[in-house]
Parts: sequence; structure tokens; C-alpha cells
Amino acid sequence: MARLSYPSASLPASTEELRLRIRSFLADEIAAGTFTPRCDTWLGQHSPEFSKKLGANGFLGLSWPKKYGGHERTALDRFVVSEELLALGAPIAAHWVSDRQSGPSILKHGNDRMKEETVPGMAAGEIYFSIGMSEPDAGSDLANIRSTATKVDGGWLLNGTKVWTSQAHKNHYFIVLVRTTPLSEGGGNRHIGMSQFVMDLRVPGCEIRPIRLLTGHHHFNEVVMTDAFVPDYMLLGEEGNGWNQVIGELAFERSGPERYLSTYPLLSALVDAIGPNASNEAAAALGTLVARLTALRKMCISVAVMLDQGKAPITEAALVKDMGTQLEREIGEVARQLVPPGKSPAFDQLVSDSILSAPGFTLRGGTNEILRGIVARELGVR
Amino acid sequence: MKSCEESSPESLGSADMSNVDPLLVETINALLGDHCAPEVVVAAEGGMDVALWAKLEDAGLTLVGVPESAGGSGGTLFDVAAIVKAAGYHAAPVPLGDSLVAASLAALRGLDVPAGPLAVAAGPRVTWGPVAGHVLSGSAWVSSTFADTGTNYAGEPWGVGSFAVSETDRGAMALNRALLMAGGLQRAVDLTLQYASERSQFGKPIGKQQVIQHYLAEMAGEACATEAAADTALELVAAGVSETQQLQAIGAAKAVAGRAVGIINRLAHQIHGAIGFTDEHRLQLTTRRLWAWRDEHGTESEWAAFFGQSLVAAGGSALWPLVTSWPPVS
Repeated sequence: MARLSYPSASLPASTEELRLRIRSFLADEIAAGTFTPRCDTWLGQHSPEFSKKLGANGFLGLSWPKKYGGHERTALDRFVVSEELLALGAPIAAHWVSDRQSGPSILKHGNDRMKEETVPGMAAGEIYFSIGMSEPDAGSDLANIRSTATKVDGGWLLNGTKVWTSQAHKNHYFIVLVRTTPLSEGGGNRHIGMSQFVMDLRVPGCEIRPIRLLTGHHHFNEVVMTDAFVPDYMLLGEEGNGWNQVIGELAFERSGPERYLSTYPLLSALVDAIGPNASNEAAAALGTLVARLTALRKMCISVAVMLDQGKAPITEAALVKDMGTQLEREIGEVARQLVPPGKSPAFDQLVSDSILSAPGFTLRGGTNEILRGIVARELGVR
Repeated sequence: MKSCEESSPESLGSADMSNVDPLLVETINALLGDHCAPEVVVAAEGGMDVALWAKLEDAGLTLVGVPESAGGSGGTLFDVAAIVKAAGYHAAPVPLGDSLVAASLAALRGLDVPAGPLAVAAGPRVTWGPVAGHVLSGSAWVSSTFADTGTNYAGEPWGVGSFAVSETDRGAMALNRALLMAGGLQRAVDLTLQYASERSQFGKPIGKQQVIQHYLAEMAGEACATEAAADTALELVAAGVSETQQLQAIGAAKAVAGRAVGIINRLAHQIHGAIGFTDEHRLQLTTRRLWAWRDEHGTESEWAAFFGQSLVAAGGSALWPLVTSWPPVS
């Protein structure tokens, strides 16, 4: 019978030195007033200055080759640095996507010239990437994309519209998924004929329009490509292999600690807000949240270890993301009931971050309904 | 219902834990799988299955975790945990988990380990007390005489008496229940997955309905989280962290497990429909035990409150160091 399992795993002791190093770096930064901890910073708090500092201190591109500015450490080292950054609510949106998935994807599928032009800059925290997957008619159903690339002399002309492109107005490139063969020529297989390109977001023919969130905050964009030119060497991987590459990218996108730590700064503040004279009801609500968080973290470490061993725990990652994103939302719901508004401006800010960002938690990177479908397929019922 | 017996009693993840002997996992699952047919389990309720106990004793499985020098079978805490999870998975109608805890604790305290089933006094109500030859109360074996006796939802006997109880023993038994629940929850998921694949309505297996698929995914997640929480506590106990931190992790595990029982039992029964809560169906053997175990040795809210109070006492700045020390680095 099919069964999901998370082999019991823990982080190696070799990660401890790095943890202490990033912890002390962050303590210094907070002391220096570089940033104030916020919730949901990995998508919304874009700070090139801070990302450059992380790069200069060797905290980015941890598992990448030294040749491209990396540090040839493990993915578990990156896990440790990521969770420390998230727990302290640091402004990490500028480099988040490039460090998590664009860099690894380019290192895996890209050619030398593409790598040389983009990867060292990513490792230095100077070049930032967005994700070019969703379209107006392709959300959960990603295979329904309509954007195209047409071969021309020396490159490709891209046409179509991408949406929900976080930070496209501030970032340098996006990895964009388009059709290089018309849908009609796929013989009924919609996954055939897609390709990925690394596209400069400042190229003529690329128009970036803001889509404001319900808070008025701007990180989403609509990216309209009208004969936007991409040179040949910026075709990522193989022409026609885009779908498989995207699926591989999603394993990185869905497996990380940002899928349960987006509201951790609020959870941490909640401990002090309810204080040592907490009622048992309040303590139990807090205890339940932390108990679930630690269980999910253990599962996430298991996924990270599997990824590090070259396995593809796509289903296991999907399930942790489903549970973790629900927990992120619940932290806000519990906090707002235990500590009424007015406790302190800083606490209210964290609650407000959590409540108003919460709709995105269970949508981004694949909705929870899509994720449960992936789990059901693995269990053999779908 | 016969086909349920054929589902392979796999290792519940513990075979992946390098320090558990895979042969041990295979042996205990084979032995319990062969023996624990529904009618056998039902017949033993109210007491214990003496024949099964004898088989386990013959195989040396009742003294795992007790050093060979003390007359035991040897083995680690993780070996004991693998047996307890298997007992939970198979709804074994014997005090195997409680007895293993009693034997290990007694050996640690330099006591002789008597033959036969053992129990631990970890509160006024001693689970399995009436069928145990000896009850461990602190650092002594006491005779099992009880002012009152009864059974839990699953027909597992208990006795009430006045015994000295330590926090350590209360924690050990709570962890034991979390491990039993990890096993039982996985069984509930397996049984439900099988039923959803076999039961047809509207011309197709009910598992083809999206809502059922989503229920199954939720159930699988809660079962895995329970095992992760119990394993975390186990690893911290094995690593010899402070007793305070051991109890925090055990409390967290019991809280996660108890909450998961509420979710998984509800969905398992909902998916099984009416047949699942009849006495002829295997599912109820598991769900009744899970409902009993989540109440024994501290409910999820008691342990969550204990854990939460320890967190607020330590303050917000201590939370992240705690989170990142679970599980301990290897």
C-alpha cells in the first residue's frame, strides 16, 4: 500500500558553526538598526543593500561551485541560513528567488555563458530573479500557458503576458516559461513544446505593470512581452524540455522553511505578549502552535536531507507546504485573539502583516488544493 | 474485511532510523500481524491476550531495552519505540508498550525486572495495572491492588490506586502513548486509503472524488507529523538533554498526537461511512484505541498548556534556540 514517509533525519553538526555566524551577523544588523523584524519578508521586503551584505558575508549561493562565486557547502547549510533569516524577519525578498531556485536551475541546465553572466552576481547578492510561470489563463493549470517564443536570427522573440510576477519591477531577470512549439503540434500532450528562457526584464518590448495588493503594497506585477528579444544563449536547458525543468524547479520552490516560517516573528513576539502569567488556555494555544511547528520542521529537514541526497521528494514537500502554510495563517489567527489590538505598535504591525498577507500563504507556489491532489496521486487514489 | 489483514505492516519510517535493527522491525510486525485478527483483538478486550504475550515473551520482545546484563534482550530506546509503534499499528491486545517502559525504567534504576506483564504508576489511574504482575512506582515494584478498576474505550484495563508518581514516569508514559498513537494513526490512514480505493459509489471508487482525496492527504500529513513529533522527543531523550527539555518535547509530541487523533478518526469514519463504526469492521479497533490513548497520561490540551507555560516562562528570545535544537544535530 502506498504510504508517505519522512525518514527520520536531523541536521549535521557541521551546520552549527554557520548557524552561529548568521545569528551573530543578524543580531549585529538588528542592533545597528538595519531592519526591523517583519512577517512575510521573503516576498515583500526587498532590500538590495541587505542582500548585498549577505552576499559579501558569504551567506548566498552556499551550495554552488566556487567557480561561480558559491561556497561549495551543502543544501543543508542553505537550509540553516534560510531559517535563521526567516525567523528574524529579515528583508530578503531581493535575492530569495535567485538563491532558492533560479541559481540552482541555471547551474543545472544553463550553458557556460549564461552561468558566467548571472550566477556570480546572484551569489554576490547583486543580481535578482523573478519567476515567470503564471499567466492570466494559467494559474493552477500551468500547462495552459499561451506565451510564445519564435525563433529569429540570433535569438527568440517572446510574446505574451505573465502575472503575479513578484518584484519584476525591481529585479533584473525572470526565468520565463513559454511555448516554442504550438499547442496544436503536441499531439494532445500539453506538456510538450514548452521552453524556459532567462529574460532581461529591462529589454525593449517588456512592459511591467504593477498589481497592488489589498494592503496597497506593490510586489506583484503583470509582465507584458511584445516581441521582447532574448538571445540564443539565454535559452535555459533544452528547447522543448521546459515542463520537466519547471517541475524540477518546483521541488526547490515548495520544500523550504519559508512555507511554515512566514509568520514566525509574530509567534516569537506572542510568547512575550502573553507573558509569564498566561492563562492555561492561552498557553495551550501557544504550545499547540509551537508543537506543530517543530513537527513540521522535522519533516522539512527530512525533505531537505532527501533533496541533498539527490532524491526528488516532490510529494513530501507538497504535503509539508500544505500543512505549513495553514499553520502560518493560524499563528495570525491565534495571536489576534490572545492579544487584542493596542498592546504595542510593533506587535500590532506583526499581526497586521500576518492577517493581511495570509491569503497568499496557501496560494503561492501551488495552491493547497493542487498540493493535496499531488499527495492523493502518490497515495494511488487519483 | 479480510483484505485489511494483508496490508503490509511496514516499518512506519523507523527502518530508516539507522540505529534500529530492520530484523527487529520485521519480526515484531510479522508476529503481531499474524496474531492480531479482529476477532482475536475483540476477544481479548477487558483483559489481555495471554497467548500473544507468551509468544512475545518467547521471542524476547518484552524485554527489549533492558540490558542483557540485567537479563533483558538489549537494544536501544529506538528499538523499544519501533516495537511500541508496531503495537499501536496492530492494536495489539497486550500491555506491550507499558511493560517495555516499566522494564526499561526499572533496569535504569537498578531494580530486578520480574517476568510477566508490567505496568507503570504514572498517575492515579494505572493503565494495564489489573493484568500486570508488578507495578513500578518510582524506584520500587509494588503489588497491583486497586481501589477501583475499569477499562478504557478499547477494553484495555486500568486500576486506580494511591502510588508515588514521578514527573519522569509521567513523561515516559506520555511519550509511550504518543508512539502508540503514531502507529495507530498510520493504521487508520492505511485502512481508510484501502477502503476509499475499494468502495464504489456513483460508478467509481469514492477515492476518485476530490474531497475524499483531500481528506486522505490531510490524514496522511497528520500521521506523519505525529511520528515526527514523537521521534523528535525520542531523539532528545536519547541525547540526554535536560529533563525539562525532555518533558517539553514529550508534551509537544502528545499535543500533536492528540490533535491528530481528533482529525484522523473523524475523517476515517466519515470516509468509511456506516460500516466503519460497526463492531464487525477493523477500523473501530484502531479508532477506539486512539480515542483512549489521547486521553491517557495527559490530554493534548494539558500537555500543550504545560509546554506553552514553559515557553512563556523562558521568554520569546528563548523560543528560536529551542526550536532549532529539536531534533538535536547529528
